[in-house]
Amino acid sequence: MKNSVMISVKGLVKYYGTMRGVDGVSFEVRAGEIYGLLGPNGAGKTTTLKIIAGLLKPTAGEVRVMGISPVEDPVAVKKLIGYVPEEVVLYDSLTVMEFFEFVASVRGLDQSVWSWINTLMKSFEIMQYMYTPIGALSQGTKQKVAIIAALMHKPKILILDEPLKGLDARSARIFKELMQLHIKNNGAILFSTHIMDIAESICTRIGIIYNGKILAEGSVEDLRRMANEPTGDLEEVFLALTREREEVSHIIEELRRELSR
Amino acid sequence: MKRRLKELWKYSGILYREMLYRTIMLQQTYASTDPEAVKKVSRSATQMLYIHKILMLMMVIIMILSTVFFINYLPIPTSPEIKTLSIALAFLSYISLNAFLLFFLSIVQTSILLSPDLYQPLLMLNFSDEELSIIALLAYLRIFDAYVFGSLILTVITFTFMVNPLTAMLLAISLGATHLITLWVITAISKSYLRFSAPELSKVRLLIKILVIIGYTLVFALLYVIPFMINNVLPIIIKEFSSLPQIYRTILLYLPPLSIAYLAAIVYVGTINAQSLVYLSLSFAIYLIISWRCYKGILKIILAVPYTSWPTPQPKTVIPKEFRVGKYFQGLLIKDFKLLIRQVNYAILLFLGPVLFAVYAIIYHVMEMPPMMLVSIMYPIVLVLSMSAVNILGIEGRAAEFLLSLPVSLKDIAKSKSLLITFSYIIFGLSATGYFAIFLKDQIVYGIVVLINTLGMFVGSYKIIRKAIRYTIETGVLLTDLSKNISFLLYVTGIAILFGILPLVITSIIMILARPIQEALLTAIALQLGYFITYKLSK
Repeated sequence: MKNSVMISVKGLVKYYGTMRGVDGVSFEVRAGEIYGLLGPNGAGKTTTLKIIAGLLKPTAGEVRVMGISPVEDPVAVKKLIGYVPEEVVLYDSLTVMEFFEFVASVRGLDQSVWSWINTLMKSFEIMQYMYTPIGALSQGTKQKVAIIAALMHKPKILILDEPLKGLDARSARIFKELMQLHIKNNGAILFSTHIMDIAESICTRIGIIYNGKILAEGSVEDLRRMANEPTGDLEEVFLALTREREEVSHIIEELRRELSR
Repeated sequence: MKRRLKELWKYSGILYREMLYRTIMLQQTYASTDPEAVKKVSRSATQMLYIHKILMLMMVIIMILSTVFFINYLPIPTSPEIKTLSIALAFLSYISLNAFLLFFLSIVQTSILLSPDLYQPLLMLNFSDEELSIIALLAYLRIFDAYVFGSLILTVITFTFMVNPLTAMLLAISLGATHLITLWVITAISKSYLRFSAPELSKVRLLIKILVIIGYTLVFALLYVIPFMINNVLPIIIKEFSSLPQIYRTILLYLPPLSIAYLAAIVYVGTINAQSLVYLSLSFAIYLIISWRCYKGILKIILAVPYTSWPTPQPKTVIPKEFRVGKYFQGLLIKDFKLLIRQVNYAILLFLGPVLFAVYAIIYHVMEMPPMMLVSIMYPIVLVLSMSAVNILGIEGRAAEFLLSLPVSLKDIAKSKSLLITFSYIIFGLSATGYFAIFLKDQIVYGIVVLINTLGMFVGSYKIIRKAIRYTIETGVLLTDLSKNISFLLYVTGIAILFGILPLVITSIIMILARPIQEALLTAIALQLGYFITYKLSK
């Protein structure tokens, strides 16, 4: 159903030893939207996504994916989602075909899924690598393989951690279109990136995450209002909201001085 | 700008530490890549740097002392000829044990050092090709520097004072030459590792690969068995050797590496004569030439590393085959089996049991040992197979995180891995039973009990793997650190004894008490019921 809550995160906290990874993050992702978690490296994006995908246990807080808790029933959540990790590490000694056969088997799919995989492989131009060991592929091609594996079962929810990293322009364009088609079919996407242009062009709503906290949330227009930057691009908005503008200006000035010596 | 060797040595240290880090990461499965885990791996890499070197040096000292002790306190008064032969075998044992340790110390690290991607950060800096080659060579040296140079220095010092300087020099040169040959073998294997681990696309290639793995396992088993056996069964070896026709004895004595050890022995005992000295010196020279060629071979491989990508299959137009989707668990199991068979260091597990048993069976036949000697080897084999359940987790490598993102329960992951160990165990059980059926019918009950205990083996492995997964995922302990965790080790040993060798122990008692064989079989079957219940009760 349109606008129904697909992912709900409330007061999420994650500690790594004494280090705080995520500090009270709350947000919702609804059907038909692409929610972008935008933040610098180390802000807590990947940790949040891993907890939602059932790969990490939170220290505190509540997560629900279509009403199911990934802590209580991680397998049920993993059936509902397609996940592309930030660092794609697959089985090097399996061929692409063997890898897809394995993923299809554990996802309980049947032979008919091949036509969909075939279409995706052609779209991402990786048919010629079908019988090549994954270890021999470039990082970009591995990324395409991981994306196809995540889309294979046509999940309602996609959790994508920097999915465009390493993709060529053609594949990036195709993937962006695929994401739009996915939300038109009432799917939901939770998307992480640190690249402003990507977030601005793709996301329906954006949550700015910084030092493990969500600083602001809303559409690009909402964020502009919050930052008092009615005409600024997302980069300006981000710097204003994270109060880093002055610091960045100072650093640029210092760099300029050093380079002019 | 030309850099000095001292500076390049410093850079090689960074490369070496990165290689250690990757060695640990390679074996780290199921632990998330969170910052704390990465810190732990980094700390482990630093610790490993020193522990490895200290441990290996201690091994060298123990080997030297046991050899010196042996030649100074020969068990029985012997004739000069027998004494020379005994000492030659002790020297051979010392040299081969050194080579054996070097092999297992260096194989994984060398494979990683040869990965072209390790050099990517250096390639971005302004090093010349020559400098990069030297850095690679120095990092390679760091893998075994303390061990190789330490063993050579300690050999010279200890044998000079405890034996005599000439023997010490001969042994040190032989040891150095053997190290070079061993290192060439390691480097060549590491180089071909990628090609060897590639998936096979035809049944013929798969068959060839399985044969190669069996051969590799056999070499492994022989390397493991022979040095340890030499000291234990020396009198039997000498007796067998003395009963050989003169021509065979001469050929064996003049073939390296025995010839080298024999030359050192005759120098020590003083049973030297001109003719044997000429032949032995010739053999020694040939051995040195071989080792020199190996040294050249090592340089050729290592110096080409930084700017060489190992050959990878080229993409080509393909004709799609049938897309085969299995059932959920079948898919998991097929994937695990493929990963196992394609990674040589893990594929050994599949054939370790039968190959070790075959080696002992051959020795049993040749040396006419009592049947119980052969039966007793079944205990450590079963124990090793049970305890290797922890290692089998490593087949996932760093892709474990991807696996955990799929709807697969931890229980099924453990079940699938346990089936691999059980499969290996069944191969061992069938080989042992087959052997007993043909050669030792009186002892066949042991083979049958091993086969009956298949369920016990499965449940035991399952429990060990579940525990290992729980440790690594829930407490964040690295898979590599589990070997240092006393409570986990005690648990593994306990399970291996209870679920692996208990039926064999009971069978032995029943046989010693001369009770009917049926009692042993029924007890083994009853134990399976108990194992099944514990499996069903496990969470």
